[in-house]
Amino acid sequence: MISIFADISVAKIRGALRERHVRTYAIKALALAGICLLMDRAVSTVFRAALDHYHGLDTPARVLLVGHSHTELGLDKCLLEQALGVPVAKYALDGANTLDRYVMIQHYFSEQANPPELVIYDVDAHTFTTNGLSSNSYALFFPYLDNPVVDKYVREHAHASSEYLVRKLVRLSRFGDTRINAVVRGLTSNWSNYKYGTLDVERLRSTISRGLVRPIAFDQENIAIFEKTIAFVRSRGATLVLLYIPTFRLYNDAEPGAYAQAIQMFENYARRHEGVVFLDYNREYADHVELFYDPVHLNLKGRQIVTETLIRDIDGVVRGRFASSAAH
Amino acid sequence: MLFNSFTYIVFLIVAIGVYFLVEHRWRIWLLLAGSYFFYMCWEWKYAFLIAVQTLIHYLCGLYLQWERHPRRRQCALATAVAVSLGMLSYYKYSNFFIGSLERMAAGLGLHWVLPHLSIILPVGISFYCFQALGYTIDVYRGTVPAERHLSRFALYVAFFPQLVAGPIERAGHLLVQFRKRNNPDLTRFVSGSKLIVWGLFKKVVIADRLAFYVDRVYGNPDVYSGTTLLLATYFFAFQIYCDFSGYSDIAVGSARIFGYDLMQNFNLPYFATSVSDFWKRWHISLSTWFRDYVYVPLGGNRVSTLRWCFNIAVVFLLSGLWHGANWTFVAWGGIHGGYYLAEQMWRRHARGPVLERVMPAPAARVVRILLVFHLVLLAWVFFRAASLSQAGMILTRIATDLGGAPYLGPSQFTTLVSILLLGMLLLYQYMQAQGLTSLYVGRSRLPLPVRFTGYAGMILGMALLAVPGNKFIYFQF
Repeated sequence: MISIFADISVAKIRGALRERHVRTYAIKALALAGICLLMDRAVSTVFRAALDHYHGLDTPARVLLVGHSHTELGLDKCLLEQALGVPVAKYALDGANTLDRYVMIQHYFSEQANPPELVIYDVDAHTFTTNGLSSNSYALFFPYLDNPVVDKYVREHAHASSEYLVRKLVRLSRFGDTRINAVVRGLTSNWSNYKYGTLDVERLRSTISRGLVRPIAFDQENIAIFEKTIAFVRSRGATLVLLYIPTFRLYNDAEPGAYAQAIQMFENYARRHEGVVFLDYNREYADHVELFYDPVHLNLKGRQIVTETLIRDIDGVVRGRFASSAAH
Repeated sequence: MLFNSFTYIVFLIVAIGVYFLVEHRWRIWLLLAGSYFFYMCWEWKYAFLIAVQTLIHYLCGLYLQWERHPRRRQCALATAVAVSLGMLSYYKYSNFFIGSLERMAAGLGLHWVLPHLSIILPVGISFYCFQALGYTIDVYRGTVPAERHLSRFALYVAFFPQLVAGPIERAGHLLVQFRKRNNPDLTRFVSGSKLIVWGLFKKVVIADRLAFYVDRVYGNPDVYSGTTLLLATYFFAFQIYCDFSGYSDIAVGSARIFGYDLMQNFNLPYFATSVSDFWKRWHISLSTWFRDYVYVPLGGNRVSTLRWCFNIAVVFLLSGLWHGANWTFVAWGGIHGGYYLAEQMWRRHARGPVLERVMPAPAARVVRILLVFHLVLLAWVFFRAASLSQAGMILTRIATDLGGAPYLGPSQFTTLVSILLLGMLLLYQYMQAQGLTSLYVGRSRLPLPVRFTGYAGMILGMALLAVPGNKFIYFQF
């Protein structure tokens, strides 16, 4: 009979384990594993607390700003808090699509005993467009895997189960560069916009003429999710403001028909649903190139002006609403 | 199967476990099967190429061991060389030569449109071809005996840790190790694991992070300022170092766990104090291969000065061409050849070290290190650029447009983290240069808590900062 396996007996293994250097290495390995585990938990706890602070998840906000980079760069949370006199949370994730934002709202509401009374949700002509967005935007939610809503979402959408499992086990692996940037901002309570430049109109013109602008689409799946979001917010008794943070006129005019259709849809939602308001700031600001850093994002000056306009527009809503809740 | 993948870790653990469970006589077969499986995960068809190379060099080696007639021995060697280099030329250089022929014809006013071949470059072909060729030449020279066991020789050619990107081993170093019996050795397991972790850290945390910036800038260099291009070039110098040395560390570490020692491929190259010193520290296995199998047979330095210059030029130009089928690589090799010749000429005619006459020796050493680094940096522009004209444009812009702050990338935070990590790398390399720590030989002189913090930092640093899924740069060679 051909013997394949080496002569390994339990006695030999026991003998090897009794050797001093084996015990030393085993102790060192266990010590290293212990240090790694402790550091992982400790550092990730600090990171998570900082991230919660940055997104306003650590305090019960009365006003919740939800969106993607348009909100991140376009709305000044501190100015809003000062003017409105109530806590404001800005939960914006770069590249968040419609489904991500639905999860973000559910996540935020699930974390707060007293959920916000006003939700400001940024919309634009591409709100219902799937093409051109990242297919792994669920990765934005890794730091929040401990929340059941987020955990379910990530588990269902992760490209590989190993991707989910590794993040579940090793907490520091939940944070990538963009999240670490937010952590640093959370630790330093810094919500500033550092985009000082202005849009290069000629380059935009060239981009549009070469047909390189992302086309607007109205995907039924995204529309359905958007309607679910409206229903969810309304079911929690909050007022929903659909805010079109301005995008540059030349960019909007690249597809005038589709752009007008998107505006019409948002106006219809506001008309059909009580407690839903649509604010379109393109009318006022889309032509002001000095407010834009790039075709779709505001610079520092743009942020200030748009935030002040928002304060002016929702002041009445906020005072009425918050006065009535104070009375109760 | 990339080294920086979860799949590789699982593969390695299973391979190690089964390796030490089976009897010694089956281990070579097990490693051989594992190595072919590893390679076939890339493209199963190209395993036949390795098999053909293996068979030809094995039979040639046996024939050379047996045959005494000089002309017949030369014929056998020539056959082996022709097969190896012929395969390499076909898969790697066919379209390059066809394209160069077309451009040359166009330069002469002839409009030739030649058919280009639809060929995918087999991963690692440059490495295993050279490794097999080195064996046959050594047998011809009588420096190593021919290997009689096909399994051992096949494993020598296809050993998975160094199959796709080196180090290019020598028969006298690696093949002999396959004859010895390896018992599980915890010390080797620990030191090998440390090397793997360090290699992975350099690759997935530093190299792949720097690649974000480098790829963006070098992908569209005409829109960036000289300052930005210079920053991207500095980043590339460390990206390619961390990528390639990271791979080598994982290869050496993996082999060490099995009980085999692969040669060290990098030895702090950016601490070199001369160009010749740089080539004793960078991709050591390739530079020694060219020295032993090209430079020495051409006559080395035991010839006239003119002939010696020719020999140096041939070695460096071929070394450049080995890296890729593009004139930029040839130019890169040529530049280093120029540096080397200039340095050797200077040494022959200068009356002793110059810098030490005007400054203390330690300062002179720092100046030399910085000078050599920047000479190497200039050459890297050619290595990374897509074409000679692009390299020229980049250098011109660096020389003439150095005002203003550099572009910090789509994510300034990522770029700043990259700079911080480079600082940490240089600090660690300085400690290695001072002998405080070494993952290759000897024990660290740092206290245990410091070492443990370092290991934990590396492991958690990978969890936090790793950039997943990028291939190693040298896989394309």
